[in-house]
Amino acid sequence: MDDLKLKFLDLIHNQRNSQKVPIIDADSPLFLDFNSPAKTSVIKETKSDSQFNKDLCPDTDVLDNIEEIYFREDFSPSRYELEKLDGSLEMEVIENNLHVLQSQLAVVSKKVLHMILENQSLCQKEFNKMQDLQQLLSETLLTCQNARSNLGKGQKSFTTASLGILRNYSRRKIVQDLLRSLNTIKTLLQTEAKLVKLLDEGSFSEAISLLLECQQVALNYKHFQCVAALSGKLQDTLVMAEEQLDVALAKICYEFDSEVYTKLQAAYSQLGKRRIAMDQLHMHYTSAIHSSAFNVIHEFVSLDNLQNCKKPFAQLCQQIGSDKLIACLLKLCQTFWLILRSYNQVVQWHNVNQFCNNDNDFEQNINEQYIKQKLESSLGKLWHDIQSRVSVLITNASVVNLKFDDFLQVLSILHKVAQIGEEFCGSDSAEIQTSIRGQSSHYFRKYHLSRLEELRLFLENEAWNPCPVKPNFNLLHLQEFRNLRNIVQQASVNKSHKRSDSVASTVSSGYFNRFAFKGTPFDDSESDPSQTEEDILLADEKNDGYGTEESDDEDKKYHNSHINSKSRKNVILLTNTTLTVLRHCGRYLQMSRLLRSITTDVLICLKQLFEYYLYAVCKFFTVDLPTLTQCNTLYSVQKISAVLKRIEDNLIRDENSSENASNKVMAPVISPTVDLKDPENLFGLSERIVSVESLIFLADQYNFLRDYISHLISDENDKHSLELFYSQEISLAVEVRKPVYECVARQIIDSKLILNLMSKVNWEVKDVMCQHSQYVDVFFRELQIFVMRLEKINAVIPVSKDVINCLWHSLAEVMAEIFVEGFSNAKKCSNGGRALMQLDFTQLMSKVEVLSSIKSIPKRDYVEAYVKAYYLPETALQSWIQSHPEYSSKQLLALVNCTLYNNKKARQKLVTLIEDMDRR
Amino acid sequence: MSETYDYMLKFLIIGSAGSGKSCLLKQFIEKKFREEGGHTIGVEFGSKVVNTGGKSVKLQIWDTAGQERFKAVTRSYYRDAVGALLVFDITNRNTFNALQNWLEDARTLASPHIVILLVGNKKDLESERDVTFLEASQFAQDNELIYMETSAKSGENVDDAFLWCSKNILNKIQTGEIDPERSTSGIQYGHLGTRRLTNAGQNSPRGCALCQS
Ligand SMILES: Nc1nc2c(ncn2[C@@H]2O[C@H](COP(=O)(O)OP(=O)(O)O)[C@@H](O)[C@H]2O)c(=O)[nH]1
Ligand SMILES: [Mg+2]
Repeated sequence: MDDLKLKFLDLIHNQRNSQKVPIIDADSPLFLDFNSPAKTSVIKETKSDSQFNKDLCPDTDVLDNIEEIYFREDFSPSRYELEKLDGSLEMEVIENNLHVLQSQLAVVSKKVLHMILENQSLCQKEFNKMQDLQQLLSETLLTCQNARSNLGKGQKSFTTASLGILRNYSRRKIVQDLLRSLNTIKTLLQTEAKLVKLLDEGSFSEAISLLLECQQVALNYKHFQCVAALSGKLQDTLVMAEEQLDVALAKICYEFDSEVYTKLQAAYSQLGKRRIAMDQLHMHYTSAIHSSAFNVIHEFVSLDNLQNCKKPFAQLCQQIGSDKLIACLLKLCQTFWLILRSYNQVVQWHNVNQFCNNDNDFEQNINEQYIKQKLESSLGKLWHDIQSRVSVLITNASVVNLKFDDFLQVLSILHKVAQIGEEFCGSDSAEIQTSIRGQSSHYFRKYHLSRLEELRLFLENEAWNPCPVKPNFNLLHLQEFRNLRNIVQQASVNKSHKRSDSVASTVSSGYFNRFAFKGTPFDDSESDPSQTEEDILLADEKNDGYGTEESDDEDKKYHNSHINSKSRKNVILLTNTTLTVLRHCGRYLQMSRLLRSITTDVLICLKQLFEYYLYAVCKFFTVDLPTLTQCNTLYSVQKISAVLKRIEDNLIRDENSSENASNKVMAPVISPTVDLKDPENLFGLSERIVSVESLIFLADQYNFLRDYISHLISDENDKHSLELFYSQEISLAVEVRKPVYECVARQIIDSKLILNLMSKVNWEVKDVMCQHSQYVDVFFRELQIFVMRLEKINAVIPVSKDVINCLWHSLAEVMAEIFVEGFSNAKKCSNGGRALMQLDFTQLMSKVEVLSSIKSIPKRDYVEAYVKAYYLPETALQSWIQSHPEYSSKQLLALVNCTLYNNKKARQKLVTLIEDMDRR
Repeated sequence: MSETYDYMLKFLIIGSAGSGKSCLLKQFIEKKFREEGGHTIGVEFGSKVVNTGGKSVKLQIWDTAGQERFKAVTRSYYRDAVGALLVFDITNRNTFNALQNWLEDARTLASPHIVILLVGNKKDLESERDVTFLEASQFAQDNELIYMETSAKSGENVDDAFLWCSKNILNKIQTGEIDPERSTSGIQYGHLGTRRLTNAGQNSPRGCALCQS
């Protein structure tokens, strides 16, 4: 059937005309019933088709010959045909046409009819079907309408309300959630304030953990827009907290607080930043050193000049005047000390608080190790920073212009700094040592020269009165030796003691223990560093007189003890100048103690102090020594002369010479108040005694210091020169007695008077006399006066046995010389005369023995041998003369003349011999 | 020693023990004060260059021990001194009572032109004052001295005391009352002036027997 249909369609397409059959104007009811002409045509055609197939062709042909145009819709056949005629109204043609058209019409009508018939039932069938369908549709419509109205009813009465409830419920749920979240957020917001409070309180660890917790919470709520902002804020707070931690860490540099530090460490540990914290801490230390150094300097440099704010450290240091240097140095050291102490405590804290002993925690262990290494390795660096600041200050500030005590103080401060360095990190503080070394030597030489200059002033004002001190006085009682007492005593008590005192090497101080909690080692600016320890040691000594003199009661005590003391051995004679020399020694030694590197200079200068004093004493008190006496040929006097010559060459400036003598002093001039010419006071014997004995005392004190000094020096040359100094110069002090006292001895006895009296004695007496000559009494009288005057002096100043002995020795020499000289003046002499000579001499000697209480008076032989030579036979006389060159030629000639006065030949021979000896 | 000055003047500080002489000297020279320090033994020395009246003057200052038994030692230092601070302790009447003796010593032993300033020390201890300002001024007036109160502790008036003395001496030189050429070694020309050692004439013959080898 389908096939058929298709065929139809094809057909219709091919031959449209078939549809617009000439029925167009027809008013057949069929057409009215079937609205569509197509249908009609289809039916028609189907009919015609079957017709074609069944019967004849002529119909088909006719159909086919129908002009195409007839099949057009709005076609008017009448008009078409008329137009086709075109004026040529030939009947035949029109007839023909008419015929054709009529046949065609017939065929078409037939055909159409046929087709209508053919399709009538089919149409009916289709129509029925359609009616059925219509029926179904209206039924469905009805159902739908029913359902709709039912639904509407249900909706109205049931669904709307309960769904509303459900919706509201679920909304409430959501809002509740929201409220909870909002509350949390609110708490978060409030936590912010709490965090700040915690941080301010320093509860870092709590703050951090709270903060971290908050951040975690915030993360959970990050879908809220406001939380995003909040967590930004939290992040800010965290940053701020870390900043605060950092600030607290920076504060640790200046003052370590174990509690705070523990909290800080805990906090950093929570942040997982312990290593970073350690690095940061070290940065803080470095900058603390840097900035506090600047702050200190700025305090002391006037900042009026704005430029100063920007100047580098070294330049600022140059502006520190010498008056402010110590204060500045102390302040700097104090500041540094606080930093060092804090660092030391940090190290200790880490030693005690090992963060984990748990071997399993690998990372913690690594951290711990890192921290340990960092702490250890930074000790040296930190010290270096501090040390270099200090030495920059020292090298740039005007150290050279400091007063001595101040300079010492600077040295002692630096010494202490070095000790602290040693304790802190085992550093030898080489930088500081070098910075001070060069300047010290220069400073010291300059200082020494002005001390010598000052010493000259003292010597020129010196009245050579004894300075009253306690009988047990020694140099350790002087202020200047206050800090050296123990060491010096130790050194001299224990010689075998091996360089152990050396202050530089004693690290016993333990500054970090002693000043762990308060104060700094640099607080007491007046006191010497090492003094604290020594003062403790000396506590019990203090009362028994180290503090030198007290009150006027002491005055009386001194006088009593002085007068009562019969045992003169212990009495000390010293002058104000001696004390001054000793004070200088103390200062020099203090300096060398603090600064080993200038020991050589110190040694030379110590020597020069003594030499200058020795020189002055000799120069002042041997002026009146007759140059040409025999005693000058004595070994000891020659030695003194040699030493004095050397001193003069090295130390004494020659006013007349133009040589540059910047390192020399002028020779001192004795004070005009000292009178060396008055016989009443024994030609200044008192002053001479004080001078020589004070020199000896000084030498004694130098001897006392010897072990200590030799202990200071390590250089072989220095050791050698020290040996020489002691063996040649210090030992010389005692020998100075001889020439000085001899000056007095020579003037005590009026030799001219005695010799004159002796020349009047008759040496040609026949008999042996039993009465001594008169001049002996005069002689003795002179000696008695001397003893009286000496007694007077002794009442004022203690004259020791040694001094008295020495005086008598000199006197004995003088007496002997006078005797020999007097005897040799005798032109002629008898045996009786010779005996008288012996008697006179022995008489005087026995009296002198009593007077001087000296057992064997020296030089007796000298006189006796001369007298007795008279009895020698001629032959023996010659050899005697040859073996006694100590007599002058004049004396020998006189002897020969007396002995051989009647033997001209022999006499001549011996005279020639003596003249020959003299020439040689 | 590159120190230059016009004159060098010899100064004394005298007075009873404990009146603060050493402290005054220390304060003047070092600007320091030491609480303890023991009594002076004998004589100590200090020098300082000051500027006054357009001249630079080197003061050679001898600080003497105040105790009686040192008299013999200290007296030799009086010679030729041209300036002196006569010091007593305003909190200790004994030191005030002793002034007359000290003054006599100074007048007899030092240069006849000596300028003496009476110094009442320990001004800082006002509450313990034992000698009134009026009393001391009266004493000064009676003895033709100028009176000044100082504190070696605070440093008050210390410099002024020394400066006042120096200035007076310079005045005397300028008015011709003192002739530095003829006066004794208490005044010497410094390196700036025509230096002449005024005590050169008193030089004992140079050298000694032992030094002539
Ligand atoms: N308060 C106070 N004490 C002083 C003053 N001057 C000296 N002293 C104290 O007085 C004592 C004696 O001082 P010192 O100079 O040794 O007297 P000196 O014997 O005259 O040399 C010491 O303990 C000083 O500390 C002062 O101006 N004020
Ligand atoms: Mg004193």
